[in-house]
Order: sequence, then structure tokens, then C-alpha cells
Amino acid sequence: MNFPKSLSALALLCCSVVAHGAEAPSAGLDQDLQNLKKDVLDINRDLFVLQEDLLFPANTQVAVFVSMDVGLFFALDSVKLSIDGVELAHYLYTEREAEALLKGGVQRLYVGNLKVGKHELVAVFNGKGTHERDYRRGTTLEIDKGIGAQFVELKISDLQRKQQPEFVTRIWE
Amino acid sequence: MRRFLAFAIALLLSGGSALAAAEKPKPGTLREGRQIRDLHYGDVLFHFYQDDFFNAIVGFTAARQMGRAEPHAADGELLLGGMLLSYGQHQQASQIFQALLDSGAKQEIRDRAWFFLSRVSFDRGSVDRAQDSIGRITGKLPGRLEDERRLLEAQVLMGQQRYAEAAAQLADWKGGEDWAGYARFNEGVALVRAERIDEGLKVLEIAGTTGGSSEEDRAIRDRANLALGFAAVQSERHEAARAAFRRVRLEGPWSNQALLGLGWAESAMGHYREALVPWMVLQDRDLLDPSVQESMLAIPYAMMGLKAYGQAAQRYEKAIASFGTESANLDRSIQRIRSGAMLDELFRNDIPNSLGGNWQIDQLPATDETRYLVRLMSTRGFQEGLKNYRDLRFVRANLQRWSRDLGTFTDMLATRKLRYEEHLPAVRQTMERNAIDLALERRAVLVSRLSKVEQARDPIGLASPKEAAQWAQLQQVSQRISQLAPGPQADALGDRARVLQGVLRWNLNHDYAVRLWQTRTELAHVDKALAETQVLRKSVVEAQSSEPSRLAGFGKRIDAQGPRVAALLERTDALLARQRQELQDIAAAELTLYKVRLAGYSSEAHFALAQVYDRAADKAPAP
Repeated sequence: MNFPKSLSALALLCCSVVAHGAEAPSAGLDQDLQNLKKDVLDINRDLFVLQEDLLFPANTQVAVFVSMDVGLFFALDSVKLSIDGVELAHYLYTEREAEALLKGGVQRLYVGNLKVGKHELVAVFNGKGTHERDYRRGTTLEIDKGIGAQFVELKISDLQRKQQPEFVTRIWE
Repeated sequence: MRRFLAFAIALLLSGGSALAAAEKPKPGTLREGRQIRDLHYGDVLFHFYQDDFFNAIVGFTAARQMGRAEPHAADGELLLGGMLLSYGQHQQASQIFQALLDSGAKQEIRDRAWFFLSRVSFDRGSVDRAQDSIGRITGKLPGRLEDERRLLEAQVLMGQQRYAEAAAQLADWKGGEDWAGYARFNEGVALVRAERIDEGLKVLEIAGTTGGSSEEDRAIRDRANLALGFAAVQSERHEAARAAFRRVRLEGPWSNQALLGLGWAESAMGHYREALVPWMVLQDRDLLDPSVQESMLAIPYAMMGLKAYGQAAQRYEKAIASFGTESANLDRSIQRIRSGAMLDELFRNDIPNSLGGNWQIDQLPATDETRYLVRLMSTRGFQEGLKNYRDLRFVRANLQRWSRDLGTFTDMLATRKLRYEEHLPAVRQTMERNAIDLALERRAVLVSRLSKVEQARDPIGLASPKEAAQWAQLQQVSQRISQLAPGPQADALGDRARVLQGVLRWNLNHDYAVRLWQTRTELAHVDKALAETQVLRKSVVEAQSSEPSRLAGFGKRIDAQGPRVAALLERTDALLARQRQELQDIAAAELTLYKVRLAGYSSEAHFALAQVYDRAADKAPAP
């Protein structure tokens, strides 16, 4: 048995993993797969738009978003959303979702339709405040729904001065 | 690759700030750093940060089509390109990056696009194109993306076998600590390949003995020590090799190779007994591993060195038997793979809920083929094939869902049409009565009255209905008093009526300004309500003429999607069958290779065994 031969084979194996890349999969199949995925993404986009146009027409649409800024004083567990006294969403956050919010993601919590006129939106946030204490806070917003889509942001941010979270609502045009 | 990509994209989202996704932010830092200027784009990021790239891509492209996310257009395109890249959509990703470059985007965006184009080319094996793209970056990339650029540039140079230049690129690493281990390791390997062995060993020694305590840091240290060990053995520095191999973790992914190497380093120094220790450890490990297979022959080799010929012969015989058993197992597995049973078993409990996800080893079924599967999954071809197969299963589930939803949309539309037709007569009746026009006329009369009251400063005009009735009553009373016969009684009544009129007028006059303001405010409210009503009426009128065509438009859109979904489902099924076949072929070919290797070792063992017998025969006393 010639050990240096085996050794050099192993040495190559060991080092070749460094420069990864190259070694393309079966070309024809890969090309067809890429084309299919592209078409599937395209049709998903078109169907998404169709679904939105059909279910939530622009003149009645209202969407409520949740965002977080920093989050040192509040760790979000759940949000309950009601409009005109009707509970529309009660969302429990996974750790991953809460992290996504902290990184700058904005969750579309609810999308639905509302008639023109005044409506009362109530959001109740549950989570942990400073020192791991249970924290529950509600915020109310009056929406004057006009003709055209309306987007509401429920933003949780840190109020440095008071060392506590702040819940801000904002209507986006 | 995925780690690289996710990190890079996270960086590009930070808009140039040096904020790493994993770092805990300081209060207030995010407000300026990555202000969301469009909620829909924020929603895309929400999916993106959860690695839900499919919904992020669909969300972004839909938002773009609906004219949303405009404030984040350039960053969004880079993000889209990066996510497509992670799905293996290299062509689409390239087109996006190229379009960004052609669109005359800002230089910092162009630099990032060139970087990603370079990464696409490198991953597709086009090293020269990768070199061309990366060479077009003009400035420093933001944050740690610059570290990635340096690493990629070195990898490209290594791909072109320009090892000395690659080493120079990585020398004296000043980038982030996250990449320091990779950089040193690659530098060491590049130096060894450039045949600057002494320098290479020195760098690998540093890479193998320094760094953090994360699993990734430990893994890179293992690899550095392994590379160092083999390079040292080849340059006959066996002591150094032994030290390096011993630093590799005993239970890590590189431990089998390290144990084998350690044995060879000992054996090269004539320490056969010491060589046996690591090789014996390998005996209890998976025989499919080339290091374990080789150790089956290395052990009797060392025994020969110790002149234990009998034991060596036994070991060779054991190796031959083990190779034979394993080869028979492989035959059975190859048969099951070809029949499709292995894939069916593998995907029995798999729920296709994402695109491009990684297969978890702990999800593998407990069958005879599991250990082969684990090994197969470490090969890139099988892994890619498996990923594609799962993607196709996801695509099929996605299209099937849309197919069902389109049916629901059609029902929903039919219900809407029915409701519209039911409500139309009532709406038309209301419109015909023209209540809004009447209200507008009444409003005009009111405005005219108010204007007269203002011009004449007539407080009576602002009287409440009760006061107006009182005023009218007093007028009537005065009239009747004037018709009475003159005398003290008529005079007294006349005085009283005048006093009452005077009090009422005084009161009305006193409140004149307030009442005027109140009336104007109420009129403004009426105007607002009337304006809203007119808008509503306009939309109702428009809806009357447009609703049928709008509903018909939806009908057309829904009808158009049905055949598209059906055609895509057909293509998906055809590709699934092809991908399945390819996966089976790859698996069978890979296992056949194992068999060939086993056969090679087996014949080597037969040959060595014959040599042992010959030697034993030579030493045997003559009869």
C-alpha cells in the first residue's frame, strides 16, 4: 500500500472545499427549472395583484401595519386589533417574526374593507417590558376613511426619556 | 454561500450604514439608519428577514406593479436580485443587476450590483466573468460587504490558479473578525498552493489556533488544522503535522480525515504502535467514509510494520469481508433507489411550505438507506437535485392552491354580479328622485336668506323656530291691539306688547354675532356633507356605467389565469418526473462510485493479504 498517494488525494479533498463554486448541475434541466420558477413567480405576482384588486378594492381598502423601532423596553408577544368594536386580528408573534420586526420589517397585520366615514381602531399590545415584567398597552385611533386606500402604522418605539416603550399610530397617505 | 448572501443583503438594506443584522442596536440608531418610507416595502422586509424569500419576492414585484415601494426602488431591486440569486435564479438575478447598471443608478448602487454579478458568475463557474465584474467596482463597498468583496476576489483568483495574488489579497486582513478565520485559512491554502510552504504553514498555524468560540469558528479551525496537517506531512514535517491533526475536534465533521492523517504522520516517523491508536478509533465509524475504508487497510499495514503478520492477515481478511458486506448493502440500496422507493420514503412526511429551504438531517427517515442518504447529502450534485425537487414540490402545491382560489374568485364574482343586479333598481330609483339636487336648491335658498340677514343686520332672521313663533305671535297681538277702540286699556296692552317685542329683539340682537357664526359653521358642515354626497353620487353614477365592465374585467382576468396555472402545473409535473429521475441517477451513480472504491480497496487488501501469506511462507521452516 502506497500511503503518500492516498494522502495527496485527501489533502486535495481537504483544500478543494475552500474554493467553492463551479460544478454546475445538469444544464438542460437547470435551465427549464429556472424558466419555470420565473414563470411561477410572475404568475404569483399577477395573482397577488388580482386577489388584492378583487378582495380589497382601492376605494374601500384599509390595511394596518405593525413596526418596531429598537425595542429595548418592550418585547412583543401579541397584538389584538379591533375596528368599531369588532376584533379583526389577534396575532401571536414567533421569536423569528419579532426579530424580523426589530431588524426593520413591517408586518401587514390586517387588510380589509371599510366604508367611508369615521371608525375607531383599537390595538392592544402584549409583551414584556423592562425587567421581564408583563406589559399591556392599548392605543386608540379615529380613522376618517375617505375614498381611497388607507394605511395605518402601529409603531412601537422606545421613549428614552421615560425609559419605556411608546406606541404611536400614524396614518399614511 | 447562503450565509454570505443573507449577510450581504442585510447589509445592502442598511443603506450603507455599518449595521449588522445580528448586532443589538443602540437606542435611536435605527431611526436614521433605515427609515422605512413605504409600508409595503417594510412588509417585504418582514418576510425577507424571516428567510421567507418567496413571499418577499412576490410582495416586492406586486408592490412594484401596483406603483408602491417607489421610494425604495433601487435598494429593492438589489434585494430582489439577491433573493433570486439565493433561489438559483441566476439569469433573472443577472438581468436585474444588469438593468440597474444600465439605468444609470448611483455609483454605490452600481458597485453593489457589480459585486453581486461577480458572485453570480463565480457560482456559475464563470471565473473570468466574475473577475471582470469585480474589477469594475470603483469604490469601497459599505460595511462588511467590503470584506465579502475581498474574500470573493481572492476566491476568483484562486479559481484562476493565481494563488500568489490571492494570498496577497488576503494578507494582513483588516476586515471584520467574522471573516478573519476564512480569510486566514484561504490565505494559508493559497500560499501552500503557490508552493510558498513555509509561509503557508505559518498562516495556517495562526488560523488553526486563533479565533472565536462559535461553531463556525471551530469548524474553520478544524479545516485549517487539517490543511496544515496534510501540508506538513507532504513536506515531511511530521511533528508539526501530528500537532495540527491533534487539534482537530474528535467529533467534528473533519475528525475522520484528521484521525487518518494523524496515523499517517505517526507511521511516517516509524511510530506504528502510535499510528494504530487513531486508526482503531476509525474502526467504529461509518465504513462509507473514505478515511474509514482506508484505515481498514492502514491498520494491517502498521501491523506489518510491527511484524505482527498473523494479526495483519486477520485484519486484511476482516477488511475484505467488511468491504464485501458493504458492497452487497450498496447493491440493495441502488436497487431501491432505482425503484423510487428511497425518494418516496424521504418525502413521505415532507410538507412543501417554502422555496429553497435546506433539508434537515434529523428529518431523514429511519431506513437502511439513511446512512447512505446522509453521505449523499454531503455531495453538491445530490444536494442541489434534492433542493430542486423540493422546490418543484413547493411550486406544485402553490399552483394547486391558486387553482382552488381561482375557483373561489369566480364564485365570488358571480355573487357580486348578482348583488349588483339586485341593488341596481333601488339605486336607480333613489337617483331619479334627485334628493341631492333638492338639497342643493334648499342650500342656495338658505345662503340667500343668510346674506339678506347679514346685509340688513336683522337679528330676527337668526331666531330659533320657537323665537320666530313668539315674534310672529307678538306681531299678531300688536295687530289685534291696533284694531281695538282707543282708550287706556288698549294703551296698556299696546305698551305691554311693545315691551315684550323689545325684550325679544334685545335678546336676539345680543346673540346676533354668535348666532351668525353658528349658522355659518352649520352651513359649512352642510357644504362638506353635500360635497361628499356629490362625490358619492358621482361614484354611484360612474359605478352604474363602469361596474358591469369592471366585473367583466375581473372575469376576464380570472379566466385568463386559469389556463396559465394549468399549463404551469403541467410543466411542473413534467419537470418533477425529470428531476426525480436525475436525483435517482445521481444517487445511484454516487453509490456505484462507493462500490467501485470499495472494490479497489478490496483488491488492494487481497493483494496485501497474498503478500502477507508469501512472507509467512518464506519464514516458515522447511519441512
